[in-house]
Parts: sequence; C-alpha cells; structure tokens
Amino acid sequence: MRILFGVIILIGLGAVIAASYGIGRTTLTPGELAQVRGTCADCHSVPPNTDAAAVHQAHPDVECSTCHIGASDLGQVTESCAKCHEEPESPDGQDVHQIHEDLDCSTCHVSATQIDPAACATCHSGPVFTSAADVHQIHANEDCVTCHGDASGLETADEAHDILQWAGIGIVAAAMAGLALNAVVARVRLAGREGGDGKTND
Amino acid sequence: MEKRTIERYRKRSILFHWVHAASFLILVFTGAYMFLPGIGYAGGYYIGIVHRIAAVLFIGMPVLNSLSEPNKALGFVKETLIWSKDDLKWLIAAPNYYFGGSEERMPPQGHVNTGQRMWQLVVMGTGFVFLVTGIILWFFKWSIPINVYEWILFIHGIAFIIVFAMFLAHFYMGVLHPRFRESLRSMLDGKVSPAYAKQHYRKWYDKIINNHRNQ
Repeated sequence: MRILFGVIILIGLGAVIAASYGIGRTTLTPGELAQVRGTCADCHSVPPNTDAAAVHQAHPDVECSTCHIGASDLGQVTESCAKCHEEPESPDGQDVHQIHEDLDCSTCHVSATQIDPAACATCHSGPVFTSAADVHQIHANEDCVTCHGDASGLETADEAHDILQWAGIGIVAAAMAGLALNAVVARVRLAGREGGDGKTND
Repeated sequence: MEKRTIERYRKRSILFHWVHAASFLILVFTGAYMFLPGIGYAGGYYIGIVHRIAAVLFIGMPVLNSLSEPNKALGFVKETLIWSKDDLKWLIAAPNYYFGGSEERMPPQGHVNTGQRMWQLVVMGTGFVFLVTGIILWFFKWSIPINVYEWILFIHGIAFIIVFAMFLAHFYMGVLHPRFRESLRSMLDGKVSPAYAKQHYRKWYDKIINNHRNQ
C-alpha cells in the first residue's frame, strides 16, 4: 500500500515538474527560438521565417531542428512532419498520397492543409486548355488535388470527353453532308422521272 | 395541288410539338455552347440556368401531356416500341426511295412511318437518358466523385450527339425533302391532302376512309 502511494506521489510530482519545465513542448519560447535560429543562421544561408518558402511561413514558431534533422540534406523533412502531423489517410492505392509515397511531404505541402499550387507542375505537365470554357481554365485558381485527389479515372474521363467532343462534331458533320447529298441526288432523280419536276409529293 | 382536307394532327398536338421543339432547340444551343470546345465561356453561368429551365420544359411537357391523356400517351409508346416486318421492309427500301428512287418496294405505313418512329424512339430513349443523367448533374454534382460526374457528363454528351444527328434528319425530312412537301404545313395547320395521306401513310388513310364510310 505504501509502495502504491509512493508511486502515485512520484507520478504526480513528475507531472508537475514536466509541466513546469515544458517537457513535451514542440515549440520554444520566442526568446529561445530566436537564440536557436540565430545559431543555425550562423552557418546556413536561408534565414528561417523570412525566406519565401511557404512551408517556413506556415511554421513561424517551430525551430529549424524540429523538422531539419541534421544539416546534410535540408530538403529531407518527411520523417519530421509525422512528429506533429498525422499520417494522411490513404483509402486505396489510387490515393494521391499513396501514389506519391516516395516524395517528401514538403514537395507538395506548405502546411498540413495546403499544397503549393505550383508543386504538381514540377513533375506533371500542365493541362492543355482547349478553350476558355475548358474545365482547367475555369478552375485555374483551384489546386490540382481539389479534383485530382486520386487517379481512379478522372483523367480517363476527361480525355474521353475531349474525344467525344470531336467525335460529335465529326458525326454531325457527316450527317449534314449525307443530307446535303440526299437533297441533290433526290432532286435530280425526281426531276428525271417521267413528268417530274422535282417538286413533288410523288 | 389537291385541297388538304384530312386532319393529321390536332391543335393540341401541334402546340405540344412546337413548344417541345422550342425547348429542344434551346437545349441544343445552350448544350452545344457548354459541350463544344473553343467557343468561349462568357455568360456560361446564365447559359446553364437557361439550359436547366429548357430541360424542365422538355421533360415536363410530355409528362403533363401523358397525365392529361394517358390512353393517347400509351398509344404513342406502343406505336414507338412495337415494330413489325413492314418496318424491316421499310428500312431496306427507304434509302433508294429517299434518294429519289421508285416507291414500289415501300411497304404501306400507318399514321407515322418507320423513319418517324425511329425519331420517336430516339427522342424517348435519349429523353430518358437526359432525365437520369441530367438529374444527377444538376442535383448531385457535389455529392458524387468527380470522375463519376465526368462519366455521367460523357453519357449526357453521347445522348446529345445521337439526338442531334437524328434531329437533323427529322428536320430535313419534314422541311426540305422534295417528297414530303406537305409535312411542315401539316404540323402548322394539322391538314394534309387525301393524295398525300394515301401516298405516304396508306394504312392510316385506309383506316380513315373505312371509318368515314361506316359513319
């Protein structure tokens, strides 16, 4: 009983100490942060929180080493994201995250909920606009993943629709040509019939 | 020209035809504007609104008409769906006939010929497709996956191509073909001449004559 009581006291005491010293914190106080960042900036040329990279702008209160483990490759931060962010839900192999599982989060993401609109174009060729009414032109301000959240057929359907547009034009043009041909042939043949003038109900 | 004395269409049918035709043409133009590539997007939102209003008219008109005269509507559906050997004969003989050839092999026809029934079949069939896909595109746009939306739009587009190609044939046969000069006028005042009726719709003509004799 005494041992149990002692354990409870120790756990409570540990919790109070941990809370008072900030164990488990993921951020530093502004003063500590400025000090740490100043240390990084002594050697590294990118001043944190002041460069144009949106991912830095999205993490103004996070020290460099929270994400950048080691200075050998500053771009490799994927493992670090999972410290604070949950792994994305990938319902199936078609999901955009599973397709790009070999990429670092920050290749596309500037924050947990935002992606860099230009990121897709880094690897993928941009859509070809067929007109101002083209679906991509209409949604030019949307992120690609708003629609292309998975690869389960959107592009196929999109291409099929493009084919259908031109197939439709071809079919209608063929129908009109056939009817024009009929108009000429029918009039000539009816006019050539005995007593016919082409103006007939027969 | 022989005096046109035989009633082919009632005023109600004529009114229905032209209102339905008007809604169809609005759907064609607004649909083509949204469907075709390279023709701009200015005012696209309002084009979509007009398209939906015309769609309600296009579907609603035959529904209301059918509800007010269910027996006639049923007769129209039977006329459209039930085909016979004469229809096959018509399909074989029609190309030569419509290109100005002899009418010897053309089988006698009822109130509408096989070609007109093909048009009715296409309007009914694509109308059903437009109804189903149109409801999904209109009301469930945001609750279905976008790739499903795109495929529904694809089916909507196929139906549009089919009905528009057939519409061109329907318009040409009714308005421009030299063998059917009374067709358009009959859809304006409802009347055709006995010779025209006998020539093109022999079964229907014989039925009218028999009814007249029996009265």
